[in-house]
Amino acid sequence: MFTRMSKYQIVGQQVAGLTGTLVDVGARDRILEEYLHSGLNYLSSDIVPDHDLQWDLEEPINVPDNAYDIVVALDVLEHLEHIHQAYLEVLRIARQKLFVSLPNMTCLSLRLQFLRTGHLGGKYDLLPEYQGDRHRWVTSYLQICAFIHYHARAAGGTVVRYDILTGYSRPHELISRLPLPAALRAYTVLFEITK
Amino acid sequence: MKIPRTYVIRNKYRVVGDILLDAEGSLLDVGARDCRLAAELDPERLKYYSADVSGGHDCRLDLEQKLGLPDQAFDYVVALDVLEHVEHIHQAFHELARIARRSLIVGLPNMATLSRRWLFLWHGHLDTQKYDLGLEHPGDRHRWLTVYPQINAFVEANGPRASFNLERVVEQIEGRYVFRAMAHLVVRAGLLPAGWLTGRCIYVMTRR
Repeated sequence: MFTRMSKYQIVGQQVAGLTGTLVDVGARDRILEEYLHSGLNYLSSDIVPDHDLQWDLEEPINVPDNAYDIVVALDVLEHLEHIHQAYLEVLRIARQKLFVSLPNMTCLSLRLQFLRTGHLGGKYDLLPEYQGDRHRWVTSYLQICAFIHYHARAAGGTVVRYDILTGYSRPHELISRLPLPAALRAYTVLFEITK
Repeated sequence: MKIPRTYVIRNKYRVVGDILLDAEGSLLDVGARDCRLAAELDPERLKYYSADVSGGHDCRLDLEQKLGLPDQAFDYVVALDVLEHVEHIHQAFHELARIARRSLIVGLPNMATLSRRWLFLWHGHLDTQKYDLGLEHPGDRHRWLTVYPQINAFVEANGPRASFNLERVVEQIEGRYVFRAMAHLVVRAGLLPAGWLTGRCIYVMTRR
């Protein structure tokens, strides 16, 4: 479904009636916590220290199956070489719900940007020095939908998709209002997987 | 100093064969695949060795790791369309430079040619499956979106750091049949911005 809500707002709304522990994977500045109600036990996880949990998603996560009620991974998986393994791992450790968002790098505004500049964004740059964190996959709408649905169904989950229209540029703001398919309008795709 | 650039419509193996016309000694072809390059070299002058991550080659090399070869082990090291497959592309470049005694030749694709930009606009892909997110991990794939200005800057910065001078760049014009010849003329006449029709850059570096 199309929405102009942010990925954080959607997650906050969808977990409003739930209790238990929520793990925010790739939490960065823990911004998601601001959108959650106080009845949830929030845990942040990232590859760097100063989080509740320090996980390297390129490796298996060392916790049992269904360890956390809710797992959230917003714009994280595309940074990983082992994206398939990481997705299966967050699916494995989520007991009730898993939220995954991925950027749609083939929305029309980015296609036009690439046509004009030959540059898809700073996250894909090959710089003179190795920059470490970056996007390791050109995540296109059709492929991310197939990828998420395939493995969620294999794990016995059902998927709800949110096509988030809000982007970061003026051209995208205009394009996202046109009567076009979701693959061209959505800037980010958020999946809610219920097990 | 401005780096000399030439524009060609020959395939990459012939280009390297021409570059190494008078070369003598040993050559390591990294990411050799079917050893196609060997057919373009004079075996009387150059002793050809193939290397790849898979078996069936003279050397088995994993470019994601430090190469288990001595410094300057080969007179010439060639890596055509290889580095963009490697996550640790910077380390791999410096390892190739370390084992090259005289010359290092590196080819990198330009994924932002005009035709690829149009394809991306209309179809949302770059005319290759090397960037696809499939249902299973594909193993080998392009791990970097190599575009013209960035591959130039990458080689221009890292060549000197590895004690190599960038002698020249051979730009391979993309396209097929008569269109490639026309594109060649357009590029040589400077009618389009640099890199729009260049499908691949082949960088020729020599040790200082």
